[in-house]
Amino acid sequence: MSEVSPTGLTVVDEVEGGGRTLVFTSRLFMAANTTLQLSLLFAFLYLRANNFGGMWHPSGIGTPPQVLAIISLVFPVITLLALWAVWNAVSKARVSNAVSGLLWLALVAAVLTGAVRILLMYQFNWELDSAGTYAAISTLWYAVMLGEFILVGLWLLSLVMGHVRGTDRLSASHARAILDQWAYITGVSIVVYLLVQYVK
Amino acid sequence: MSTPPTLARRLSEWGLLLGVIGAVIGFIIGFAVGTHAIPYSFGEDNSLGSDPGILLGYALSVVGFLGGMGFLNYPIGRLFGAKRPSEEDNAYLHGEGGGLSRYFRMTTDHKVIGLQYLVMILAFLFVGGLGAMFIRTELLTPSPTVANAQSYLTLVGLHSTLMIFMASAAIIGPFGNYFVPIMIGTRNMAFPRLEALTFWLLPPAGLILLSTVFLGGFTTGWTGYAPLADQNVLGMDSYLIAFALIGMSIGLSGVNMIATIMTKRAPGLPLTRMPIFVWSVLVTSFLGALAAPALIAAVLMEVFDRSYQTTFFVPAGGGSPYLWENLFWFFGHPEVYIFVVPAFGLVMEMLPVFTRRPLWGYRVAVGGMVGIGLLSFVVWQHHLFVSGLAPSLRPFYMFSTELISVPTGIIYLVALGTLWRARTRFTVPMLFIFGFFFNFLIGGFTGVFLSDVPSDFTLHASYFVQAHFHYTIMGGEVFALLAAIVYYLPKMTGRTMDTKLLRFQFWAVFITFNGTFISLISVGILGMPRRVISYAAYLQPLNISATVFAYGLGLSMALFLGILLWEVVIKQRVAARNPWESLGVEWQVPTPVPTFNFDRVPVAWSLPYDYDTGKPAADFGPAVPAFSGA
Amino acid sequence: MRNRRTAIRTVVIVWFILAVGGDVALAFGPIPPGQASDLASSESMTILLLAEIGWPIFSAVLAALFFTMVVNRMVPPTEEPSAAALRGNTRAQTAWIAGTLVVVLSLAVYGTVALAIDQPGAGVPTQASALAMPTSTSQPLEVQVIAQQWWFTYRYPTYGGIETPQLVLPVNQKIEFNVTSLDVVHSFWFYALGVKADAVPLNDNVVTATPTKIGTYRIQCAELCGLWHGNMADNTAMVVSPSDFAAWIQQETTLDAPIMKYLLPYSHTYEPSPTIYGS
Repeated sequence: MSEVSPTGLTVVDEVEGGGRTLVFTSRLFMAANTTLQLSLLFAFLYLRANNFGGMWHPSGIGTPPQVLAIISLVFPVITLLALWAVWNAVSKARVSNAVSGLLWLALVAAVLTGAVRILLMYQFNWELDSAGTYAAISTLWYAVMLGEFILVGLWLLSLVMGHVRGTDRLSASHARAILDQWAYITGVSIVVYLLVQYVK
Repeated sequence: MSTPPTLARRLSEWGLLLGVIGAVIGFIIGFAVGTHAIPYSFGEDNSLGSDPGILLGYALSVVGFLGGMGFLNYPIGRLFGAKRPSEEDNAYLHGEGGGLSRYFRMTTDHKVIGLQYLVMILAFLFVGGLGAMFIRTELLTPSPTVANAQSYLTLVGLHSTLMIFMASAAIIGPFGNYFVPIMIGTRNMAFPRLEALTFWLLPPAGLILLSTVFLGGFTTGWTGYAPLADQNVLGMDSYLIAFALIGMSIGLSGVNMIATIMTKRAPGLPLTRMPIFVWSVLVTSFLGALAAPALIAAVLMEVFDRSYQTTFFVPAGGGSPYLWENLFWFFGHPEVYIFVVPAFGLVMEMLPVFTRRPLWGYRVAVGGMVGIGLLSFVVWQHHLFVSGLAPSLRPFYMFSTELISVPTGIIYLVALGTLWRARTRFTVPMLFIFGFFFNFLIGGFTGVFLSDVPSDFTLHASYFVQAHFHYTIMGGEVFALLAAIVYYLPKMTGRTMDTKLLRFQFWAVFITFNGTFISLISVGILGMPRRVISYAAYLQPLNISATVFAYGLGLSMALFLGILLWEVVIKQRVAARNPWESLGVEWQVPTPVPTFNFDRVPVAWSLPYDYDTGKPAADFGPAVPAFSGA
Repeated sequence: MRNRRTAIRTVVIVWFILAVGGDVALAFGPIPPGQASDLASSESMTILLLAEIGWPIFSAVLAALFFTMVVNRMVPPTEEPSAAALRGNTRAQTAWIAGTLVVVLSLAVYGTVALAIDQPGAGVPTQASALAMPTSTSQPLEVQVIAQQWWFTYRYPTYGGIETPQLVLPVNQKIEFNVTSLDVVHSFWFYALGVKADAVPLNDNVVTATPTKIGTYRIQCAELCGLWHGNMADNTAMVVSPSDFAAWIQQETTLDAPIMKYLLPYSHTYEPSPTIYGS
């Protein structure tokens, strides 16, 4: 009833997993996130097209301050570049002090990302109960992106702390996973910026 | 244990109590902050508090609950760069050492999580079923008698929402969690803590939903249509938070399952040799992971509408009810396939065992389920045929909806092919499987009438629709659930139930179920709308018939629960090792299944359906026979 | 029934009788929603067609299940087919899939054609010229249905925009229902006429139907709209002869005369002045 496989082995003691799973799952979250973003995009475009009672963009509702909005994009891009450099180094097994430095840079830029975004949202100055639907969806979308930056930022913090304290040196798959995730969120936030500033 | 238990471990023993304390503290903080710090509040009855207060209170109470249970220990530890948990810590968390306390705390063993899910599902089913009994009692007369309008609609909402919660995890939760890792030869899920989280989101969701009765209830039913949802009193917030929690559970569980199946399969097990049940879990998980975020988006907008007085769904403020309807049903339609696809997988997994033949058309079955999964994303507007939305798109959605009956029909093809010329063993699970196919056939047939737009004009929003989805979800998924419980109980608990009693129970539930819902099909065709407390007098005889049968149905379901509790918990009737003589890997491992499933993972795998040769699914070596007497 | 072949033949014959019998019974039975309007007749036709096509298929699958369940026990297969044949017969699978596809495609085509004939431009508001008195019975008479929590009101723009709590329609006259709401989503369901249209605030949902039978009918709300959704129904909708209709219009105009100056001018949607929900 039992037959020996061609390799002569019938059983193994341990199964590999680990890194591949991390990168794969990071991409799964991006796929799920896509539905969320598409739903918000759908809401944005639908509310704009319908414009019931002219309430999409009533008079007196301005767009967010341009300069601050662009600055809010600069920091996530800095983080992205730093993370890319980290992944580059770690995947080529060139683990050095540079990696720690880059990680700190990424972390600082990530924190500033969150801070500037919070500041930007305070500048919206929209009274949500009477500002119409453009203001509502833009606020909601910015809030969602802020939440996502915070979540991935916390993940980054844990990776940095683990690496710096030596309890969990950064592996290539971890670096890749967080790079993918941050790149996705940065890309989405650029799209959101363009929509909110120009497609209003 | 060589070292004394750490503080974290000792606290974890008290996890549930700490969780409750955390929930209370979280609620108080959230409620205070929400009520006082967030200035907007509705011009409704605010004697109980404001919407932001309730919403934030619920949200923080869930965070507090999870914190008390110990879910935040690992993330917070990592944020401080703490060492990874030790081998012993992991083993403890995994439930090494056994004992009943594993089931009442955060445990990462997928088998424990599976059993936890099973209990939760049965609890939802029971409470939701009670709601149904009340509804049917009220509908004995054409005018309000035992309930008033507010409580009736809240009952309707509770019954339907609890059943939706139940159905979304009824098969994946208990059986997906318990058996998928075993069936693919891995020791645990890809993210065990995450899986524990998806379970522990359910009890708060259920309790938060039930707490609506203290906040005035909600009048929208489970579909939560805005702008009625904007109008509702505080009880609506319970529905929103509870549904959001379930959506997160579905999404996270989906991601976890996909990651596990795709990256942690044993070497020597390609996708094309996985048991069909695992395929159904894979398809369902994609549906869950990709559809749930649409619900989250919709709920977020509704939360904003109710607390910040935005007007996402209020036309006077620039919004649109169609926005809610579209987002909700974009989630809602894949959701119902989340209900039914695992049931298909389970039924097809059991058929070979009871027909002693390989599954006929395994690849076609996989193709069918993948087809259902893909199509389910492009049919959602069939819920909106009469809504006045996009009439030019109706032919497309009619076409896509009718098309979905083709892959569904493939499941019947595979079943008939397997059954043809088979000497079927008429065990209790087999009875339920036949019941499944009979009921789902009616359910699918009624669906055809709804997919066609002209006939949908007559039948939409009537009891015909109600009967359609009860036939598919209850007649389909719940029957498959009952079959699976009877089938897998010997494996999961080492116990079994009395066959004669179960056979009686099957016929009772089958007859009463069909009696109830054939009455409701008729009443729907004759023009009775859904969710009404009063109806036209000429519909009363059929409603009485439905109620009488429904009482019988309720009693039969309660009987099942009674048999389960009596035989498994009280009498503890011991089962044979492999009573169904199945070739599946899950039956080759010993009972109780070892904590980490396998001492050594097999590398030579085949489909577990080789009943003509008796070859087992995986080769554990000469020491483990598949079953005595091939 | 010692012989499997006889068993199969018997089941097929029984199925055939059931299928034909069922189809015949359906053709003579009452099919909802009946024949009180052209739209209702078309819907009944569709339902009948679906049932006629579906019943033989439905009963065939049931017969096959029954066969495997009962007959296999009574006359078990004598020899086990070879393992190869068990793996899945490609021809059978292709035939089944092709067959189901053909049925589905024809149903979809039929449904689309039926839609195009019955509801050209359905759901979309028509031009203002529809407000003019129809010159023939095939030109639509515009009737507005205003839903609110928890009753329906009807307006007749061609008759000066009078507002009535009761719906009365002239027989054999094409009616264009313009359904809208003042607050939440309702649904106007005139069962006998086969008309069902969601009433969405600030939206004009258009359905056309020609009533063909005089009588008194029921109207009810078909979308959960709050506490008294179940009571949002009445049995006073009437389809009457043109002369009776004219007389009724006259009567309503007289009744409405004192309040006409307070009514909002007729429009396809109405935006209530800013309201506090729930008050």
